[in-house]
Amino acid sequence: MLMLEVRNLYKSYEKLQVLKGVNFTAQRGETVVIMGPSGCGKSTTIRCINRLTEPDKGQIIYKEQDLLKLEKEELLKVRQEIGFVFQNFNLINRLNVFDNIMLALLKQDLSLEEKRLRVEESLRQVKLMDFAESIPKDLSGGQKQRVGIARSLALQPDLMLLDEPTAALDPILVKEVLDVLEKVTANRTRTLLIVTHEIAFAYKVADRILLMDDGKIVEAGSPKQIFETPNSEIGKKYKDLFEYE
Amino acid sequence: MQILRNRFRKDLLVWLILVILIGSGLATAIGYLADSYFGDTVDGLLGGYGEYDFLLTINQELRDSAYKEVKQIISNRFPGSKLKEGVTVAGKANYFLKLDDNFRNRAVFSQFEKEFEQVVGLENVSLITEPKLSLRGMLGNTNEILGEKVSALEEVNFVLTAGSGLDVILKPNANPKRVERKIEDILDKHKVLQIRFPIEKEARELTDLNAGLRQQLEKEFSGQNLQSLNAGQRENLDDLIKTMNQMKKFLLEYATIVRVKIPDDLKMNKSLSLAMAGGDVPLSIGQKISSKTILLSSLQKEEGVLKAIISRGDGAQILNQDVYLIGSSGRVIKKIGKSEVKRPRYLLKKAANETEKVLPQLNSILTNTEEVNQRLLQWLTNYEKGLGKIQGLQQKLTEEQGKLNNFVLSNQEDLKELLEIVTRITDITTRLEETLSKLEFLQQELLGMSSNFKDFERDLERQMVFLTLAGVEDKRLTKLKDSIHTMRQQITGNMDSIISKINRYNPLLNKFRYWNNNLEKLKKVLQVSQSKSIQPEKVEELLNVVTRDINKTINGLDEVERTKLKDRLANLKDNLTKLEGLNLTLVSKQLGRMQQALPNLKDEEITGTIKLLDKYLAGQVLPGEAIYFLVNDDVNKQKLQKEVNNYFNDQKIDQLFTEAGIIKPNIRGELFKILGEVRVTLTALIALIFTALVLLIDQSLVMITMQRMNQESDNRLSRFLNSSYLYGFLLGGLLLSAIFYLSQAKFPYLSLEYIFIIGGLLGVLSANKAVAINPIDESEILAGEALGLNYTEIMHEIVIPNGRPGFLTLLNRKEMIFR
Repeated sequence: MLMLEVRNLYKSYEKLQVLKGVNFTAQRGETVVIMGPSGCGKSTTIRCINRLTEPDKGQIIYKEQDLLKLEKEELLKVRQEIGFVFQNFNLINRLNVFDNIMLALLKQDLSLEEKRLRVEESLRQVKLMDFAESIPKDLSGGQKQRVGIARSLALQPDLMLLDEPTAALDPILVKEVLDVLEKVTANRTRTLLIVTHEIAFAYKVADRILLMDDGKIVEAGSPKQIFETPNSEIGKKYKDLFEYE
Repeated sequence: MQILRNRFRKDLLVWLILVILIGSGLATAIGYLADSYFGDTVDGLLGGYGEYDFLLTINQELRDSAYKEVKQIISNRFPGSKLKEGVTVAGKANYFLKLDDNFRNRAVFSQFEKEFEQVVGLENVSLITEPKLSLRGMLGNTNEILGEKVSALEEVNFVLTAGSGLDVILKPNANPKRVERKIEDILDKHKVLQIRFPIEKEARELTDLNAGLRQQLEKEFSGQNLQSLNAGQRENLDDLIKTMNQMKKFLLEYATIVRVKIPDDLKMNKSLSLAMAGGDVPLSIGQKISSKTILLSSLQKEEGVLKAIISRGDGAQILNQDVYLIGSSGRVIKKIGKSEVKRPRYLLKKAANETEKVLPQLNSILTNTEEVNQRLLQWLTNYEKGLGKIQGLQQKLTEEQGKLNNFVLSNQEDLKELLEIVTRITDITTRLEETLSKLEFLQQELLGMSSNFKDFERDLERQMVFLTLAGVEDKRLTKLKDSIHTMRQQITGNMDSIISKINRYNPLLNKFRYWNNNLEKLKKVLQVSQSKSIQPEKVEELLNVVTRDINKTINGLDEVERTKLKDRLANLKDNLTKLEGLNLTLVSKQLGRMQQALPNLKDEEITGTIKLLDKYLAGQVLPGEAIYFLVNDDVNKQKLQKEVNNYFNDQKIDQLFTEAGIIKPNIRGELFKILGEVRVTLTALIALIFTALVLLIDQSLVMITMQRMNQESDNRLSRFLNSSYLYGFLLGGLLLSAIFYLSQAKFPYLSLEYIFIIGGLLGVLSANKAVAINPIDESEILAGEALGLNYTEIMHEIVIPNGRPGFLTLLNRKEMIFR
């Protein structure tokens, strides 16, 4: 079942055309990884999906509705169904871990208890139950990102957007995040769209990999196909890297 | 203004109302605190409204004695009055005095200050009674004219003239504003016409002009409608100016004047001066002038001749007539030339001294001349007597001669008779000869007297010259001089005539002496003939000689113009009497008095005084003089101006209608007005600071989020409408003008529209500095957006809690879910 379809998505900043007609789809439960060189438009694409960045034109069909046509209030409702994990965690520094996650449930039509249970469940999923009362500045980068993941999971989203979740972390911390993400993707209950440079992680978790270059999807396929028999130039570079790793 | 479409607008509205109320309250409270503080201070300085009548300022050093004396005067003269000590500021102790009601009247108020004139240490007595209105700027005697009308007003207790104005003391229950309006009505109904003359118009002319114009205008306009304001002190001032002009002229007449020809190529400037050697110190080129050097001050230069007076030293100290040019260093540059020095004071002194000399001289002349005249007259009488006797005997002698011719002296009888005749004639001729000899002596005396008289006249003439040089134009002296001159001419004419007539006697005297000798010889011959023997031949011969000359001699004696000589002597006597009639003593006394009255000043002092007079006269005359008239509404002003123009027929005069006076607010009112302005300005400052603070601290958060939201829009209009600058401008303007309006704050000369603009500019400034003042974490906002939070929720939960503490954070606390 089609969860998300992106059609002819364009975005420019001033005179710089960042997205030049991005097209792709994602099925329910599918894990789609977007890869490509820096500045190719990966993060812009993923931010355009929940309109954290407003695209210039195109269509973003989510659950059969074009998100670009939604009014503000409708969009806000949709955002509560779409989890978003930021590269730099974007935690609310004045709130502790628990409240940071609770904030995500602010507008959920749940009782306080239900919300608390959901927060706790999220924390358990990311193995941070013991840090519920901690404030972000007391956490490591990996822990912060796991809180970010937990905040997204607490929404129990149908679609999760992860924008380079490990980019701001040192290699040791990357692993603990990737471990969490592997678990999240393992049950295939929700659609995940992940932007990452982690080739091994992508190879392991992705159902499909989208290779982007110069604002377009230049190649799409299974990890095996992308990393072993790529068609595009960029795909070939990734193949070399994959082989190297 | 997308933000206002958001639910957050409610928060903003609450914030706005709260901030306006708090801001207004704060500004008003601080303003009133200041007002109250200053008000108490003023009360401490001036007393409460109407509480006191006079403020007495005493020098702190003499405070005890002066206070004691003041207190004594008050208890003696104004019993029941209350004296209260006020503040002491800058060495001045102030005392408030409340007069007893019995003394609150015009008579006491107008003379009040005089009561304390003798108190040593009392520096000032100020009228501070309330309610009071003060009028100022009333030209001439406008205050007296309008004072009558003001004092007739119902709520006015009495009026006091105060300099060029009036102090209007109101009744205790009077409404000052109402009286002020009534006085304004009176002032509005009057105007002062100022007629100004050009600077070159001499001050002394103005009094005459004023009188002439006044007469002219009084013909045209009713005296009730137009009154001259120059009648009083202005004329006194004119008199003073005239006197000072005369004084200057007088001093210039008696100052030593130095005239020197200035070379054509010499250009005098301020750094150069002229000097003459003074005392016993000569000047030479290159030498530095000494303290004895006479310095000159230029008066005027005409046809190359510089007229100067002495600015240092005195005319008596001038060593020689050389004038030198002195440079700025005080060294002699060169010799200019020889000067002509005129010292009127010394000449006058000399003239007075001469008079003292002349007076005894004249007395001596008068006495001598009188004596000589009398003796001449006596001589003349004697002469005539002798001549009459000779004439009487002349016939007898002729008869005897006939006898002698006819007969030879034969008998002793004839001889005896002839001897008797000859003896009688000889006696007479001897006396006549003596008389004639006396005439010679008298002639000598007359000649001496004439010489003395000429000396006297010369001395008198010299005195006249001194007096003329000294510039003394005394009519009596001139008349005296003329009279003496005329009389001298007459007296000397008479004397000359008398002397010339006496001279005629000289050959006659010789002849007479010769005849008398012959007579003596004849007499002796006759005596011998009588005693011894007759000598007929000798007697006949001598008798022939005597009788031959008798007619000739007697005719010669008779030919002398005795009558004319008598007349001349009478004239001389008359003239002497007239001369005695001249009161030379009085003139002498007058000259003496003049000498005494001469200013006992050195030239440098005279020059200093002249310069001072010049300065004062310049101050009085230079600004251009004016004539003032008080005119009321009934006068056609255009017609009046036309009349004035016609009168002067002089286009240079300026005519101007000015206010008859202005109402000067009292000190208390002024102070409270100033304090009121201070209060509203202070309130305004507080409002301004408060607005700036809340905009910067609270609204910068809102502005930052607006700026962030605005980045997403490509539409220019939308960007403008959602601009944090527009928001800041409108909010700042609204905030500040509302606080100003509610707190009654004011900035001088700025209306509420301008205040709105100032507030708006503060808002714009806040928008511009928002990020610097209240930085927010962009990533947190982004997270909130990603979590589907709306603007209000983001503001409540993320933005405002992270901002600086302020009203917005305070209000936000109740909105926050995650505290």
